[in-house]
Formats: sequence, structure tokens, C-alpha cells
Amino acid sequence: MASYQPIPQRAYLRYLSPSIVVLLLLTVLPVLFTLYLSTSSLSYASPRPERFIGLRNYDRLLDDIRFLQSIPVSLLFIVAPVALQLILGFFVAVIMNERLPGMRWLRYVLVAPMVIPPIVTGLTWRVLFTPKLGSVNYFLSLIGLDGPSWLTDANWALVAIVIVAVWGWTPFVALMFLAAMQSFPDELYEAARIDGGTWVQSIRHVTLPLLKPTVTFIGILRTMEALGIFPIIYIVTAGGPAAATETVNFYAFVSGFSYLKVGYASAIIVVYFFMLLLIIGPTMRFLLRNFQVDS
Amino acid sequence: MQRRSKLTTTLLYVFGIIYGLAILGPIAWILLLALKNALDAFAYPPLFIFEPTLEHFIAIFEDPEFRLAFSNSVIIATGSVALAMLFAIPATFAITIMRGRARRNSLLTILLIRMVPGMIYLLPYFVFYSRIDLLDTHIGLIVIYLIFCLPLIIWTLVPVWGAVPLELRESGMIDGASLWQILFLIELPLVRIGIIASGIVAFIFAWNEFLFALVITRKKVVTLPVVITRYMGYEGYEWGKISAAAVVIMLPVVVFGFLIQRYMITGLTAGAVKG
Repeated sequence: MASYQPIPQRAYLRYLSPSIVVLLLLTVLPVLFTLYLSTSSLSYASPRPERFIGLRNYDRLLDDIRFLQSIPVSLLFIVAPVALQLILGFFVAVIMNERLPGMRWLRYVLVAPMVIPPIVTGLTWRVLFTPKLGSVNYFLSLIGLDGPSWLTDANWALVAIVIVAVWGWTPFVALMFLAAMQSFPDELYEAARIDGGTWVQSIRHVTLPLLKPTVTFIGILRTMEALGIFPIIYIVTAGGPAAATETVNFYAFVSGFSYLKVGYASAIIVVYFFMLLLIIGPTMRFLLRNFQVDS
Repeated sequence: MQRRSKLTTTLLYVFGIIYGLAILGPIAWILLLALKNALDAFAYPPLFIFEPTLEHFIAIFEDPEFRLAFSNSVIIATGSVALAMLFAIPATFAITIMRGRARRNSLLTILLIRMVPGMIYLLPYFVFYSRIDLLDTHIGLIVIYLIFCLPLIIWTLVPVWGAVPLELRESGMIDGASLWQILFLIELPLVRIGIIASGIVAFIFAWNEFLFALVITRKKVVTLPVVITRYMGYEGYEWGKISAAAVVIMLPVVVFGFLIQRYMITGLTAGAVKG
């Protein structure tokens, strides 16, 4: 037998480090550049050369009603869709986990919203909400309801965006929950049955508690992605009516690319970044404690 | 499993079918709209039976801008997958042997980078690219997509590659093969399904991406998601073209999605969350 040395883990470093280095370069440098831009007067709309203006962009943010308004909109578009996705996704996962005869097609149907481009999802719903072309109000009228003017009424426009987000992302949540449920040990359900528990009780007292860490994990993932909601707003409402559906990142986009105020938009992005950090902090704590990546 | 009452079973069916229809309905609607002529499209109440027409599909494929966008989307999505693979394959090879804290921290760092909203990076790339003349180039967009495609591929690939026994590496070493030889000659052929599946996941991302494409491209390299918004022009919305284009854009990714649906969520279920 030839003498054999196990491969030291360090030998693999040169295989992994290019990816880590590239990813960090591509992400950390832009963030630092944004910090720099946020202290400059750079604006493509103004002929004056850019100069250092300290914290003046941030100062102006505090008086910008449109910016202040965008913060609660961002929060609403996190809390409402994510909560609904988790609840609805749970029920859908329970149904699929029952393997009801004749319901296998649901699994395939769920894939569609996950892969359809967000821009197409947005356009589709834009059509559905448009009075003459769309069908939402037509179907509401069939059950005797008078549909609102979805996209021109500020409150209904908010509801419209939430509906689209729930339509688009519940399937992902449901499939993740289903994957977790399928790994739950049968013995626990068996024990519940022997104890005379009903089906509903087994869902409540076995499935739900076992699913809790997955709910937290998926809730976090969805929260981060919900903070980045963009194409749907861009297409369905374009932030309107009168900026009613404008999130922080959407306002940053408008400031930077419609009004061309790059310095000012960068300051918005920095604030947005801190909102993100508020989510990432607890996320990392949770993941470091609960995440088991060894197979 | 517990025995369900008849009522519960019925409710599960009813809810499941309603939910399935709510998902399918909007997709069916846009399909029908793409096949309706302008008059039928605006009929009220909506028509479910009508004479279908392919005029909108013909119109978009006769539009040179749409054709250009189609080839751009193919080039950029394929290029993004290829570039990301170059990095992701060796990285996954390394991660599969790592254990404990090193493995966890690398995977979590990579996951976190993928989760950060693109808006954070949009402005700096725009300003930087405009200074070094990378706006409206394929490579400019492909490099940015690396931020998202690389983590997607690694996360989808790790569970597949993790199933390859590590003894293979040890016996390869005993036979005098180098690590690179083991990677490319022994293990890569074994995980080709994973390579294909993760490649498709990344392809779907790049094909669908809108925010960066909207800002970084102008004329030469506009992609499909950007070109479709141009049919929402000043002269009013061309709904026929919009819905036909929507169908064309989503068709390939829906087909891909069905093919690899098993792998699409494994990426995230790979790391089990402890109870």
C-alpha cells in the first residue's frame, strides 16, 4: 500500500478563494463608492462640476416629504405580502403534503410564478387591473361586487401591489414548506394518532411546531427580497398614483434616473442600506445559531 | 397520517383547486389576449371563444428591435452562466470537502450576497460604467450578473455534489492524480445533472433580470424585459404586442422550470434548519 496523506482542507482554498474575492470586490466596492457619491453634488441634470458637499444630501432628505412617505410604503410592502405568503403558503403546503389523489398537477402549476419574469408578472396584472381589458373587476361583478378603480385610487393601488406580490411568491414559500414537511418523522404523527388526536390536531401540534424554524428562515429570505421589490411597482403602478406606491428603493431609482440627481439618490441608497442592515443583523444571528449545513 | 374527516378532505380539495386556478388564471388570460385581435381584446364582457390570430406574434418578430433584444437576451444569459460556472465549479468542489464552521460561513456569506437587493449596487455601477465606457455592452451586464448567478449556482450545486463520496478524491490522490485532474476528469462527469440544473437556475435569473438591464443598456444590448416596456409607449399601450411578447419571454423559462423543478428548491433546503 502506498502511504496516503489525506488532502488538507487548506489545499482547497485556491479553488474557493477566487469566487469569494470576486464576489466581495463586485459588492463591497460599489457600496463604498455609493458612500462617496452620497457626499457629492453629482447630478447629470446640472452642468456644474461635482464637488464635495458633506452631509448636505442627507440633510435635505430629512425635509423631503416624498422620501419620508416612501419608508412606510416599503414597510407595508414587506409586512403585508410576507405575512400573507407565509400563511397561504402553509395551507398550500399542507394540501400538497396530503398527496390527495388527482392533485399532483398543483406542483407543476406552482413552478410557473417562480420562473416567470417579474416584468411579465407585472404586465399580466397590469392588464388584469385595467378596467376594460382586465378581468379582475369582471369576475368581481359576476359575484355581485363593484370593483374599485385599482390603479387610480391610492389605497387600492397599494392593495393591488400586495396581491401581485402574494400571487408571485406564495408558490416558492409553499414548496419550501413542503420540502421541510416531507422530512418530518412519521413516528410523531403515528404517536399523535395513537393518542387519539384528530387530523387538525396533528397539523396544529406536530406539523406547526416542527415547521417553526423553516418559517423563520423563509420569512427572513422573503423579507430581504420584499425590500427589493421593483419591477412589479415599475410596471403595475409606476409608483403612482401621486407616489402612493413608491418604496424607498423606487424613490432612489426615480431620483437617480429620472431626475438624474446621482448624489442625492446615493444618499437615499445609503439609508436604504441601513434598513437592510437592520434585517441582516438578526438574520445572521439566527442563521449562525440554527443553520446546519453539514450533510 | 391521521384519518381526515370527509369535510376536511372536501375543504382541502376546494381550497387546492381554487388556489390552482388563481395561479393559472392570469397566465391563461395573457395567453388569450395575445391571440385576440384588437377588437376582441376590448370586448365586454370578455370573450372566451373567439377567432384566434397570430398577428401580434408576427408583428413582434418583424420588429427589428425585438429580434435584437431576443438575441441579446440569449447572449447575456448564456454568457452569465458560462462566466459564473468558471468560478462556481471549483468553489463547489472546495465547499463539498469543507466541514463545520468554514463550510457554514462560506455558504452563508454567499447566500447573503445573493439576497441583497440589486438596487444597492445600481447607481455605483451606472456611474462607474459611464466613466469607463461599459454602458450598453454585453460584458458590462454579464459581470454584474455574476453577483447573483455565482451564488445561485453554488447553492444549487452543493447538495448534488455533496452526494459524491469523498473516497473518490482519496483514491484519486493515491493513484497520483492532481486535484485539478480529480475535479475535471473524475467528479465533473458525475455531477453533470447538477451542472445543468444549476446552469438553468442561473440562466432563468439572467433572462428575467430587469433593473440592471433597464439602466445599463441603451440601444445595442437591450434585453427582452426592457424591450417589452417600450410597447407601453407614448401613443398608448400596444396590448397585443405586449401580451405576445410576454408569452414569448416566459415560454422558455417555464419549460426550463418544469424540467428542473426538483432542483429549484433543493438549493435552499440543502442546509437543514435545526428545530
